[in-house]
Amino acid sequence: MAVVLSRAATPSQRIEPAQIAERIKEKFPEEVVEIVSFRDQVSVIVRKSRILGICRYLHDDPEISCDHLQDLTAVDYKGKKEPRFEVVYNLYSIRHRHAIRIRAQVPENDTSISSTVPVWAGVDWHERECFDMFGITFAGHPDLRRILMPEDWEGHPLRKDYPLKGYEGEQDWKEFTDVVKRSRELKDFDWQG
Amino acid sequence: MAVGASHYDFDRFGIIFRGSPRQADCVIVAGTVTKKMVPVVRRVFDQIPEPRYVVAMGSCACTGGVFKTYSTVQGCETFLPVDVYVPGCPPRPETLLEGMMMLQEKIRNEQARWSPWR
Amino acid sequence: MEQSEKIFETRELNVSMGPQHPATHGVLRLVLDLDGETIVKVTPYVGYLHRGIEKLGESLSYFQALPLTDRMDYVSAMSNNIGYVVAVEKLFGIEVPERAKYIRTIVGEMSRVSNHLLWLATHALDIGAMTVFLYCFRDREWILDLFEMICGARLTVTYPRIGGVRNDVPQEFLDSLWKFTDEFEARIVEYETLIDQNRIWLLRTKGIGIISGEEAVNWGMTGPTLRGSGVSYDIRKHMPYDAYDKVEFDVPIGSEGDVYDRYRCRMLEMRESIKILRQCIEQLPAGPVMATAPKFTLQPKDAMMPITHPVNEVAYVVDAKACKGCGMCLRACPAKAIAGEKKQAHKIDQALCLQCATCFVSCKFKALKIIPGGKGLSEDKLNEAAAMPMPDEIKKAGEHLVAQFEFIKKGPKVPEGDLYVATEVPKGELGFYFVSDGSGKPYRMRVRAPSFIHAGVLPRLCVGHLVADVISNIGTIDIVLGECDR
Repeated sequence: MAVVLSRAATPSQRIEPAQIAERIKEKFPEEVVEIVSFRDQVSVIVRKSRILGICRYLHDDPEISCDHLQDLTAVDYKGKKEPRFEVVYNLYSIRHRHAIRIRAQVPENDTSISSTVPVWAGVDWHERECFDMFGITFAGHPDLRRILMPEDWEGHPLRKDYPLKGYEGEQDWKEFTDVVKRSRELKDFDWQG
Repeated sequence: MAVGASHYDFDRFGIIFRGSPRQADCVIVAGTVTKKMVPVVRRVFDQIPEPRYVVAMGSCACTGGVFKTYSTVQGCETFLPVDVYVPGCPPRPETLLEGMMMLQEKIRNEQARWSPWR
Repeated sequence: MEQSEKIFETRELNVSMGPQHPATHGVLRLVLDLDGETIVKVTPYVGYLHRGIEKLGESLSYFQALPLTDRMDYVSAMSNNIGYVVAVEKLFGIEVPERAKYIRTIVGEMSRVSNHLLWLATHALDIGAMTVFLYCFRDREWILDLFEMICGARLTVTYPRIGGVRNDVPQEFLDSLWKFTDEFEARIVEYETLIDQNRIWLLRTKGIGIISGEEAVNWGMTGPTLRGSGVSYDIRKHMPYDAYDKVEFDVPIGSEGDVYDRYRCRMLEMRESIKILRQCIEQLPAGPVMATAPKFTLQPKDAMMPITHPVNEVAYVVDAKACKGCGMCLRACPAKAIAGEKKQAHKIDQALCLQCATCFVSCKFKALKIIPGGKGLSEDKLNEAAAMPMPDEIKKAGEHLVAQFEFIKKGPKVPEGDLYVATEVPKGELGFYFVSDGSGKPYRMRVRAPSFIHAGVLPRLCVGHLVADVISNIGTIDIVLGECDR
């Protein structure tokens, strides 16, 4: 049960993000579309076909060793650029203290990408949320269903063509409108002091 | 929750939190009500035996608050008969206490069949 | 014989508002598959508090989205604000003055102590130690009173702002905080004597929810929940922000990875926070608390005082000659005090007017006049005063007000790009991923909430234990549903 207090930073073999991007480009030359750098953070834009291989490489390679998936999310670039969606993986290596970002392009007509659950177990709920909010399906996911919205909700809220205020009246979620209707009917029987 | 702790004690007003709706008189709807949660809240309210009262605590429960989005209900009065509205984001403990005292006042002035005995 | 007959009982356990405990963890629903008393499978259902903060952030400017972050993890609002502000400052590329960095560290650590106190209160309450709940809230009241002293709000503070903090801290705040650090060490010992060696506590927390370091990292756990398993990952040490690289502190690491170790980690973290607070108060430098970057930060509001805090009551009058009848002020008025037909001069009903200046800001034709000392004057006098040119003071204040309004609404001109910045909130790693398209509103604002990930690990932690251990596990992963569902 011993609790040890950790003091100063341990020495690490930190690699510059630009170099990690170069290594990815060497290993998967046809997959990499572009390397973007902004405020000393580097993103590697890749095609989605071998994303599982890329993630496995980044996770297993002893010098890169990105064991911590900080975040998995998606961005909808409707109207701004093609392809429409990008699935973003923010990776970090706790041992070596370097970070890299992978952006996988997902076109609108084929919104399916390989699931990376075999590599990081915790990506499970991230992918469910992506599916819920954007409609991107993850092939190979153990249990892909809605997580934040109710199970029978229609539409994918974070897409750019979904209105912020949602749909009211007829197109609203049926269980909600049912409860409101029923409570209006029961209003006559409400407790009156 | 701070209202229930020792600084702003709830208990001295005769109010105590109960574990089950069957043993309660009043339900405090605290925080944002989302559409997914509406059937659950209504079911809890339906389980409270009469006489029963509802306190909407916080701006989100009163009117939806800051969140005018696809998943938020604009006030819990759309599906519940509310007796007291306690505004604030979040309401101070003193505000909630005043709300409860207002509810007690309302109960005292009731004209129901058995209220003279209460 | 009987062993081959397995009885499956699926019971829905609602840990939600109303029943059982007053708002401990929020609206989390767990479906347990039980085999007698042992758990076979746990399925958490979240989303009962999903308010669409990410989508809402896309329609508001960077300044307007800041109060939304308060309401995610409403227990430690300062930390959320700091996380957002650090990310946005990196995106804008502005430097924060030293004093503001130290003040942010101070309030961040206060919020950490406040969060751990609430965590301990609710965790102990769930397991059965009710006295701890009352003791912890007593201390939490002190911290919340200190928050009220600096910014006026207890819970949803919005005190750290883009470019620094909102206002400077008074000396009595620092004195009271120093006294708090003196007394709090003894109080932590009080809590520990209540439960640390208690047989019941040990039985209910030791050996429960064990997860190895490697597996915990694989599941995406962060914060004290991860450090209890032996992995030394603390963003304050790995990627320091604010004043964390200038103060000395240790990071407690556990070894077993069970509920008891995480509890010890958090208790030791509270002690470390006290150390950081003392160092920050001693080292606090003088200087400004807001960065001087007028293109990216909000400027002080002194110039607007004649309108926002007038000495005499003012009246708002529409100048009949200048008014084009466009109806902008009519739609903007929150009290519906303006009436008028299209293309004809509008009129303000003085009885309903709230003097909020919303109409003044929305008029593009400068037809709204502000008359100082005009409240209560008759109509003719008001119209007369409206026809005269506005006094200089009001004119300048008015320009400032309109400029500020437009700036907040439209947002600054931000460079294009995407950015992920993580900070260490009391619950774990809070990350903000911004995609900026050059306008003043974030194109995509993604919040990586630690509670969301930890709620996903719950099935892994609970399998094989008894039903009562589910409560210990929920307590140890320290989730707040506001953050989990956003």
